Amino acid sequence: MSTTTSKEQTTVSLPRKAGRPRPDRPTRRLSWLDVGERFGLLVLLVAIVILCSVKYPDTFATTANWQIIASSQSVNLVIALALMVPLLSNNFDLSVGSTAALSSMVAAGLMARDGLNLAEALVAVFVMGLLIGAVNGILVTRLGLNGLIATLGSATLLDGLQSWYSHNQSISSGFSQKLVNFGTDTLWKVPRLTVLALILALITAYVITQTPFGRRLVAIGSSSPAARLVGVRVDRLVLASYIVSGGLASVAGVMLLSEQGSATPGTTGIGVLLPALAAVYLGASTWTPGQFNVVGTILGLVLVAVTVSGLTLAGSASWVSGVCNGAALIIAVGASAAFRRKRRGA
Amino acid sequence: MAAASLTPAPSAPPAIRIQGVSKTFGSTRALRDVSFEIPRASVHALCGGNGSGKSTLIKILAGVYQADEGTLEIDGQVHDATRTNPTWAEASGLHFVHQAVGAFPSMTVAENFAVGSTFGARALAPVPWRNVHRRVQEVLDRFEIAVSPKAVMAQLAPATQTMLAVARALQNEAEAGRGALVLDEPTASLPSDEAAAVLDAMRGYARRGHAVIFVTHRLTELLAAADSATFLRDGRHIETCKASVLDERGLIERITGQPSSPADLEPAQTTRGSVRLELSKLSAGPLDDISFDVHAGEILGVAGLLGSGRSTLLQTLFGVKPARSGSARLDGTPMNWSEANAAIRAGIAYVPEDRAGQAAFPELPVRTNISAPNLRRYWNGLRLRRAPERSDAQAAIEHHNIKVSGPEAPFATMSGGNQQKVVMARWLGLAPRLLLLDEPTQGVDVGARSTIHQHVRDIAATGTAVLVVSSEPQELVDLCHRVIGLHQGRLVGEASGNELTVQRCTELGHGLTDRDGTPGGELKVVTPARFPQPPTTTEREQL
Repeated sequence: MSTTTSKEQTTVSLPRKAGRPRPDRPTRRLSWLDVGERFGLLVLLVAIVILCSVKYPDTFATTANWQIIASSQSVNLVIALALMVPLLSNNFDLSVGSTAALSSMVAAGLMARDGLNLAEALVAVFVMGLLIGAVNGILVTRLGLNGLIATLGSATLLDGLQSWYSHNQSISSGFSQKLVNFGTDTLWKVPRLTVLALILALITAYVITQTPFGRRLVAIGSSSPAARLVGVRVDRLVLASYIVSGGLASVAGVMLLSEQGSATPGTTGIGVLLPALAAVYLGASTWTPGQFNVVGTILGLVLVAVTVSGLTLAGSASWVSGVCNGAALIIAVGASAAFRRKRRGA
Repeated sequence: MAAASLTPAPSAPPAIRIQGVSKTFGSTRALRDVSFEIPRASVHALCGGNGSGKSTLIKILAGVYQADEGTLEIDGQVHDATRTNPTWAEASGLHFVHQAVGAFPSMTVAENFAVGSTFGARALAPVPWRNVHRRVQEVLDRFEIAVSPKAVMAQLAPATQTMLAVARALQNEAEAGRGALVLDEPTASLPSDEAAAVLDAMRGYARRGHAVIFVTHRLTELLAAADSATFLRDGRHIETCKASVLDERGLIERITGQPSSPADLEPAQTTRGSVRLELSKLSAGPLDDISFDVHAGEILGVAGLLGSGRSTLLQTLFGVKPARSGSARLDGTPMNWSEANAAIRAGIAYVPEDRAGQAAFPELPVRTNISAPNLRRYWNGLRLRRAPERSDAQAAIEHHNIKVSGPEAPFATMSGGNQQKVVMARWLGLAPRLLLLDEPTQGVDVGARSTIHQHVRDIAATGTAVLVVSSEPQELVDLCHRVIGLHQGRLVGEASGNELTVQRCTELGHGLTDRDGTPGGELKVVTPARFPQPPTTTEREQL
């Protein structure tokens, strides 16, 4: 080099940079795209909240409205968690909504008709949920059925059982008043149901991210044959994930009874399932993009709920809820699939 | 017609004349100025090892790849080899049957034949089944295949399915006097008697005037069926000759490019300890009565072709495939587990051949890809400790010289060589007692390959017994202390020390046993038997 700059002269005493082995690594840049992926949903949520709060300060931005949103989404959150656990291993459990609806009805029936006390009814319903999960798990692992189809079948079957058990009649009295009170109580202005749902979400997040169980489920979801060859007992873990799913769904059922104060036979599985499914997939498109996660799922649920609430206050008819959930599901599945593809390098 | 320019044909032109074809992929020269011709009405074998360029050449003929330069003359018509495409290949009368036959197993023969066409009907009009069946029956008669057009594909013998695939490829070729039929390892998945039927059929097509090009790794088949052969090595055309002047040794010399001379390499350093793995009369899948030992610190290579049972051997030892009979012992303890979990705890590590399908967690970070079989190490009863997991992954990245931005980068974002290094790091970090490697450097560049080899040598030096399956003789020579041959489920011999050459490994893989006691003696080809007899004691002593 003929032109020596002053900068080069200052480094003369040091070993020349070119002489040192430089780590041949592409540096990882946190591009705006990555940030957008991770926090895009959060930014969108905040924007909608601000917009609605400014537009409807008297109706939207009130404690009462937020309490309604929080309370109504608590059951959805627990169902979303139930959906997410087997979904980590790439297995659907579409029966979670129906399990919850049946659990709600059976809990009410056991107390109102059979005279069981609250604790006994809770235990009975929880065991029922675990059994339903076990049956689903056996269908998928032992009999090798496709989880999507098998649990769609069990969902329909459970809806039928619910109709049979209830004789198509609502149960709105005769069960524990404590349970009904729990559904309307608040703890420092936060509905108790929401507190319970958040505690369950925290536990689920812990299990998914901090334990070998969660890590192995994620490994199965990424590649089941590879998981088997690193020593994961694939069938056993998938079965376990369905049992956890069934248990969580039955808890969601009792929460549904508590929130609504009655069990109505019209509550079918798919209606309860869809918002949860949309939330889980919205969650997979944010926070840790391409992977199912609890924080993203909560954000997804709140986003859809706030949007519906805002549109309802703006005077839209009751159909907006269905349209929003459906649209959210399609957008979410598309986005999370795109992020997953990107990570797979395809 | 793409890329066709008519030139006056000389009398009786060859079916195919390949002229000056070259092809480069990045920095790899797959084909360098390859020229040869294939006469009409004959069976022509295309021979060469892995990476010789034969698949590239076939793909250029099929129009899947385009050459960088050169011409293809088909039946006297000269075509520009840089502008081929699948439609052109079809129109020129070039037909291809690939190794995976590509049949629809649950459909009938007639449906399989007609599925690529419109079934002779318009889009939504009913299919004229009577016409379809009649036409398919004509084709079956022409190819002398005795099955009904209404037979369901899956219920037919594999050889019949292969012949049907050929007939399907040629169904619209009324006159045999044009184009060519290209068969890529048509017999790879067939047992020998069924393979013989396919070879007979192939000779029949040639007699009727078809030009048949076929690729096979089974040398006996090649000698039995081919009229002439072309050899490619490192992308260069080596020789085209009559098959009648070839014998097995001549074939191997032309494929490997090495005459049968003693190895000029130093014998590999052997630090043999006690017997670590002991197989006794093990039978599993295609494997039949396999017995051998691997010592601690020894790297034992397995030479064998596709379907020889080489992968089954490793899978059985890892516990993911069941054994029929016989026993295997690891340090004297019987290996009778039936799942990977138990095998890993007993100190066995297994790197499968299919990295993408069986080893990778593509979208998960490098960190969890490495720690996957070893989660117990980071679990403190309350949570998985990320910090040591991440620092272990970082150490592995540095130790194995893995080019990646860091432990959190997704596995799939790396190149193939670096992916394989991550898979190796996953298992070598466990310090296994027995390491099972299936094609450890498949699709891996030269640099990564030598890194991987060095790490295998290093772990063997610590006393790990290593069993390596490779279809590359050079890799076995580079890496192994000793190599055994596996041919159609049976052990056929072994080589070590001065005997361990590329040629010897190729011979072992192709089922050629040791020389018959005396130097310069005749080679024996192990003829596959339906009910193989166990080798006599004298034979076993020779092994």
